[in-house]
Amino acid sequence: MSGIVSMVSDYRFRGVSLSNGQPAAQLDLGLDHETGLYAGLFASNVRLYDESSSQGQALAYAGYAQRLRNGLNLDFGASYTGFSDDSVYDYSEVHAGFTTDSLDGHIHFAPNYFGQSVRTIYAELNGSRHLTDNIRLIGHAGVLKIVSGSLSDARPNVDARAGVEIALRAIRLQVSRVASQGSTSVYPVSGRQSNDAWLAMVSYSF
Amino acid sequence: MSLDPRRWFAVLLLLATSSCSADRPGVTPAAAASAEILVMLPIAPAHFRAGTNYGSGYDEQAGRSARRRVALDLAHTQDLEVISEWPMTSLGVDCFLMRVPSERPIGAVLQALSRDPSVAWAQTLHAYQSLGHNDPLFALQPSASAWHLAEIHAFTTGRNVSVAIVDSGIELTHPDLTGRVSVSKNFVDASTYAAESHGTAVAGIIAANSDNGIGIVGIAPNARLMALRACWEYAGGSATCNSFTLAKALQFALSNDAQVINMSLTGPDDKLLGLLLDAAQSQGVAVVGAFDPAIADGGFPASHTGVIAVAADNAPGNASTVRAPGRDVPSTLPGARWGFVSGSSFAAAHVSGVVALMHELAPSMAPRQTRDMLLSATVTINADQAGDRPNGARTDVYAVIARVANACSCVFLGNSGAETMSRH
Repeated sequence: MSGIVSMVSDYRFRGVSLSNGQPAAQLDLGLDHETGLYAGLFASNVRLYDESSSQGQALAYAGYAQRLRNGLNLDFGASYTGFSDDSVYDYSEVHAGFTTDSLDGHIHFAPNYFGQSVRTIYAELNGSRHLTDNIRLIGHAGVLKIVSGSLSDARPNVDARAGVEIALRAIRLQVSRVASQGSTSVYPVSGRQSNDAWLAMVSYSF
Repeated sequence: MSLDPRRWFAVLLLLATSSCSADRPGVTPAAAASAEILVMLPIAPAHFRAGTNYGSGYDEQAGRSARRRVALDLAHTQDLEVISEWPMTSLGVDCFLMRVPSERPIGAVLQALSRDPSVAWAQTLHAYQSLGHNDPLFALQPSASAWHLAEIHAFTTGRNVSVAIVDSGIELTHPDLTGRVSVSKNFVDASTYAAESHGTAVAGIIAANSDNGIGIVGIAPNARLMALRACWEYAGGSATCNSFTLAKALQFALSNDAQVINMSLTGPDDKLLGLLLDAAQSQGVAVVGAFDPAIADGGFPASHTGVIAVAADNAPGNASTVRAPGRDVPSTLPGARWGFVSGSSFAAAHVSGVVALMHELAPSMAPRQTRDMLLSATVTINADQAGDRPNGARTDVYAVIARVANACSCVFLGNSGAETMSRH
């Protein structure tokens, strides 16, 4: 069992702010079994359409991972995301991908993304590179495509992130820049949020 | 080979000293280096995690903290002290260096730890030694004439092939090594990075700059070196390493795309190191080791499956050793100097350079194929037939390179003892 608690200045999910540009507190718990089965729970506070009130989001996931002889890890699994007040936005998703020392990539498929009656595919690539033992660069790129449903002619949403992370024993400090482009109408968030933002995060792992 | 007086002397020396635990130069005692052990905890396979902590791999934050907690709990129960840690991601284990109080027998501690379900395995920390000693005599690089090095460099110079040197510190500012070292790291916690003679000499043999008007020419003068200091030197030029420092260096080499790993050292079989060498080979990395003439099978890692074991031309070896110059070889030394070195450490360095040459021409050649090609080009020379050449064996590196470059078809006249090669 392992966990991370974090404070983020803005909860950006696939390039979109789910906290309406405001800080959020987050918890990430994970359980790994020696057979390769894994499960976890992620929770955060979010601010959806109605900007003044905050509610909780919980994402529960489980899957199976396998390490190959050459050091490559493959995994697949499923997740369910629920919102404490607006359960109409609850949705499930499946994922599959790979992880190595410095790179990971996954594809996600949701049959009813954010309860919007659309099917989506999200593909992402994450990487990191150490500058020193305690400082590393992190990068992320992702694209969300609506493949069927009322919004399927909307432009794909591309999001990217680049930043620096400093580790001090169990504490991590991260500063990054997030940028996104494309349609965000599938997300139940205010249309007035910015596409690009600076983010700061501090987290403690246990 | 059976009449080699040096071999009999070594056997007599072994018998004479077998009742003592005294160190012999170039040979490692089988017992643990100190009251320290290595405890391996499994790392679960990496996978998708929700949350916004981007970045993955061995740095995986929460898992590492959780494993550290488990290690501290184990240390507390067994009355040990956690000193250091390094994830061996290629093996899926996190390696913890722990100190055992002197009054506790190490064997009992290892047994108790091995019975714990959260431990993958626990083992002794072994010590390793370099093979070689400075012995300056005269000024010619043996490989230059024996291997027609200048002609080989017309085909290949090992350009952009990454060679990891797991050894004592290389002098990064040496004028004959300018621009050759792409990364340097120190894995010896007890001391800071330092320029030391064994590592510097190995580096020069492998990749010293060519045509710079000074010094020597490396076997692969355009190779990129990873200076991985996992050994430390005492006065006299002999270097010592241990299982932990070597394991960290090997894992670093694997995580940073080394194509060749040079290990000019000898010591006991080691489970952690053996598994890392297996992982290296399954990732297509060639591992070159120095054959210890004082041990029947050449010692570890030379005798480990798949490792390209190298013995000096005129020194003892066996049917599975590649041969290279290992006596009075000029090379780079700390202090921007050059000097002469001897020993199978430096023969191994020659072959790491050769593997880099082969990899420039055939980047995806598998380690097994590399080893087979080099062994098939190795012939035994009998003293009475070869005039001024003493007994020994030779590897016809020119023929190997030419074959890889498809530039010629070469015929070896093998065990008949004749040394002439014909080239069509």
